[in-house]
Amino acid sequence: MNVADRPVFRIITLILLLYTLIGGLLMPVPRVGIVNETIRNQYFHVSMWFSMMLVLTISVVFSIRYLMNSDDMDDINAVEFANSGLILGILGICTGALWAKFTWGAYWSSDPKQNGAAIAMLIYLGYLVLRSSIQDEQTRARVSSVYNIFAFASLVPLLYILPRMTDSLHPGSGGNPGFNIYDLDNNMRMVFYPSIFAWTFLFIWISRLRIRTRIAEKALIELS
Amino acid sequence: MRSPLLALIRKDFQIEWRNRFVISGALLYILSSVFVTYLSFETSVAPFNSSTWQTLFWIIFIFSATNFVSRSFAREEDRSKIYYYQLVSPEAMILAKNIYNTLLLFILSGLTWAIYSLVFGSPLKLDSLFFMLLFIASFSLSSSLTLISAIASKGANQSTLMVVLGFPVLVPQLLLFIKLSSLSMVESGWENVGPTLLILLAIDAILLALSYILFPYLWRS
Repeated sequence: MNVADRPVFRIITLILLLYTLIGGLLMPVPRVGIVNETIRNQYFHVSMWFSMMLVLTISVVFSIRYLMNSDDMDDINAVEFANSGLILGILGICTGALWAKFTWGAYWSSDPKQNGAAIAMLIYLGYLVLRSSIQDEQTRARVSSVYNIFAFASLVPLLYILPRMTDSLHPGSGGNPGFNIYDLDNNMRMVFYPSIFAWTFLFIWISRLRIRTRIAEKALIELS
Repeated sequence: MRSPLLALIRKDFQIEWRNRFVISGALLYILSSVFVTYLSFETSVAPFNSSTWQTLFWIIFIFSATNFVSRSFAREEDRSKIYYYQLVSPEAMILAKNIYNTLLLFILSGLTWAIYSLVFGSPLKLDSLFFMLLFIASFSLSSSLTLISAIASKGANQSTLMVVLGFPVLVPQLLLFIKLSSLSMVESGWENVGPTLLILLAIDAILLALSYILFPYLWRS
């Protein structure tokens, strides 16, 4: 039995999620000009973004494994983790846009990281379009694994190198200090780190459910 | 005994030369897109500045490049694909396609620039840096689009897939081209563009290495 299917994993996930929600909304946070109470979005926007990267990395690892041993399970894993990463990315963009509205004054201000996030979503939507345009299962699995790896490699400079070269409204670039310098104090760390695990575990849980549904569907087709 | 790499590149150029409609088609593609944008800007009363100049230039170029590169793997018919499969290694194939696309895109970029600056004028200084920039842009586009065209050729609607899959991947490169060409507009000189150029080349090297590693998996299917 997969670790992620055990009740213990689900209970831990639920506790972490409850802690993120309750602690995130009620625990003391530092007062910082402009940001004020919206700093609590750190536990949602920033940690969702972190867990998106983790989930997408899991997806790429499964794609690499597929190319190495052509096991159908690896392909199912890769596509479901990519789906979860896409949902996390959309949630990350939405929470980020709301936060931007209250701190920077507009939902979208053409910040390099915002644009990078939008392009990341385009890449994974393209991945899904590619999958749906190929009929043969093995070709689909192989071709989409190749694209997943290739696109992920081009995403890394887009998200981590280019934003550092230009001005950004985000903390930590374009002369803005990083969060840890002035406001990620110990109180915030106590919620922030668990919240990353909370969102990652929740989406691993969702992915596992969808993977098992797919396996069951496949078994049904083979039976009939 | 000629090396398979050179033989493949030679073969691609020979096919291109025999079917001259492809290169003339690409030329017409550039000509008509430049002319349509030119007429649109003529009609518009808003000012046309150097920032518009280079954005438009690179956009037209990446569209015609995508259109051109998309045929890299579509051209060979199934029967000849099996023939090549027995003759050469997939690594030689992808490298040959990459080199061939780089060279042809370099020619296309020169043509695009010539037609484009004929109607719009050119704020760029015509020096070795500029031609180097065109060459590096062709190399970058080839390193990202060649593998994408191999991927797209497996799908049902190839031309849509090419844009849907290719454009998000080449965004980092496009942004760097625009940055480089605007830097060279402000002040010409290698030390000015050096750091940005290095980042672009590093991205290209990663994508090229990945195409080299990943292409054998596509080739077999």
